[in-house]
Amino acid sequence: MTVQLLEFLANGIALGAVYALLAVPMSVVWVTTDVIDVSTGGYAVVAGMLAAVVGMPFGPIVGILAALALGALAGGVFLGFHKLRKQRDAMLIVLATFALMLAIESGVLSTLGTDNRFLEPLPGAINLSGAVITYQALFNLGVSIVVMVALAALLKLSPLGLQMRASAISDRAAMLVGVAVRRTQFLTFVFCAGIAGIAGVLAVLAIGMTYASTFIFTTVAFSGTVLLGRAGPLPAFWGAMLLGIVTAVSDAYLPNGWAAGVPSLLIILVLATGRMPATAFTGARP
Amino acid sequence: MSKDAKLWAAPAVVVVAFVVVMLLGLVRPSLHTTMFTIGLYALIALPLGLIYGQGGTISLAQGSFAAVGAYTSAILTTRYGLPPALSVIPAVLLPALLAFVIARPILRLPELSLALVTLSLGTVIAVGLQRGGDFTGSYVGLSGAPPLPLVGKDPVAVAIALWTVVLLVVVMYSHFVRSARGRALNAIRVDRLLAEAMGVNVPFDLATLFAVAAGIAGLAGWFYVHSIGYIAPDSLNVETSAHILFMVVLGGRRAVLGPILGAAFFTFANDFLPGAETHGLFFGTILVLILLLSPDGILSPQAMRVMQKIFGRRDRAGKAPPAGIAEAKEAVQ
Repeated sequence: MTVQLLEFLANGIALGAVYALLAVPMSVVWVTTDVIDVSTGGYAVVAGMLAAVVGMPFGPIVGILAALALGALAGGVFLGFHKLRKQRDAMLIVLATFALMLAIESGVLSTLGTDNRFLEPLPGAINLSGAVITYQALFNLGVSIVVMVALAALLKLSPLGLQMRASAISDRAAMLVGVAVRRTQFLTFVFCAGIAGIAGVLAVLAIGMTYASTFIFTTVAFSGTVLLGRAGPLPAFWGAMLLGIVTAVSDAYLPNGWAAGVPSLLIILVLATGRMPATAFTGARP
Repeated sequence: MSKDAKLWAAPAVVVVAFVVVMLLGLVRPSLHTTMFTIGLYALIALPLGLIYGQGGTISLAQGSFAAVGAYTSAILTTRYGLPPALSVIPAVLLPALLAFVIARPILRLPELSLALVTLSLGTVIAVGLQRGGDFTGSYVGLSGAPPLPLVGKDPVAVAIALWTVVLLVVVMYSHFVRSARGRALNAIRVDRLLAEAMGVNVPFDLATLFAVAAGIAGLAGWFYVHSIGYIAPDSLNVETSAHILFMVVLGGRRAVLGPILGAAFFTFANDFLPGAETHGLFFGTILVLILLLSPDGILSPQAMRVMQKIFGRRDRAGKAPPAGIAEAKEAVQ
């Protein structure tokens, strides 16, 4: 029983690691631009599907490049709103990214069809006191940790990261001290689409995907981003981990099909009751 | 335009458009079915236009509330032999009650969190319907729902009955937005704190409207199941809710007729565009362009100004009003 639970928890953490690579870029775009990029799921699906179609070893590279190109498109739409309309209503841009998601999903459907695509996962597993954990799950977790560390280094140490943080605190103040805010925000879209692309490649290895995964991945990213009640990469990471664990454990213990509703129920309970303290897992002082 | 003319302009447009299309249906009968689909979407989208466009409260559960109404009526009529004329009452009340109960805790949330919670609610409802076993018909759904009372299965009569309800909703919407409560709703959208300071009972007003919107969606679900005779979890779901939001935003979220225009655009595009799989590309591109050029949708003050420029019309003084006044008008509208 305990061994089984350990196994499910490990699988949940591995799933959460993929979810984190969807939620973290969405949260970074959110804090930097005030916009939730709803097309995040689309970048992941395009990257994953292309990786599966092209195959190893170049598939993942092609997929991530395509995700970067789509991120540039979303960034272009964002800039278009600011150039053409001097837009301050972030919700309109969110709706525009929703439109972009519809277009991406349709593009994937019309070019790659309805087939479930997957790549052969890493073979083998390790046995930890009876709990079987696949190498693929460990690989996903490892990649997620590496990306998170690289992201943290970029945000803390690089000029682009500092500009992103300045834009997040106040885009106007950042402009006044000479930061090219719009260019930084555009690059944030591109960079974060790349991270979502990595998530897509890992997902196509671990669980496979169809064109319809676009909406699911976006919902997962969105849920992870807002679940802990505060914007930022760290809360998004923990939110996604929590979702992954809840999904894996409920998949194991609930009757077939009911598990799909548990993450949604969790979101409703957490957000509606307001029980989660705003500073939980955020790294901020209470 | 006088106050009365403004009140009745939207219902008049609905009547004229309906009559014209139904007459065209004599030549092309499929238009009657198209009008039914538009009416159904419009009935779900109109209350979303009210709560989102006027109240600033987004919901991605309208399709799911319609499903609750449809399933309620289907279960009562097929399992317990209740006539549809009576099952309409629980079909409206159950989603309204569900919406009212959950509205109080969730409507205080910021816009995006609220969108996520309503989306999650839709997912939970869908899972419940899929896993409901014999009671909900599981993934297969329920069939054999009796036809609508009085109008039966005749597509023309069904369309007339549905559009009569749509017309009633439009009339109520037009009157509501010009009433004190309607202005209070706009005040909530512009500044919730200020609205509370002015004595508006924000939680109660929003929860009531949310419930009314869900009840009207439930009514649409009732129309759906008794005109088609069948309901499945995929008939009205989260995807429907996303499409409804698309219709409201595209047509014009602040205009009474916006959701109907959006519903008409969506339905005609689905019917006439080739290759169903490429529709999303078309809708996505159109939505981005509309949001860029006219953020409040096709029926919006910005679009009207463009039209006035095209047709060379100015206001009565012969020149456009000052920018501040135009912005204030937009905020109020």
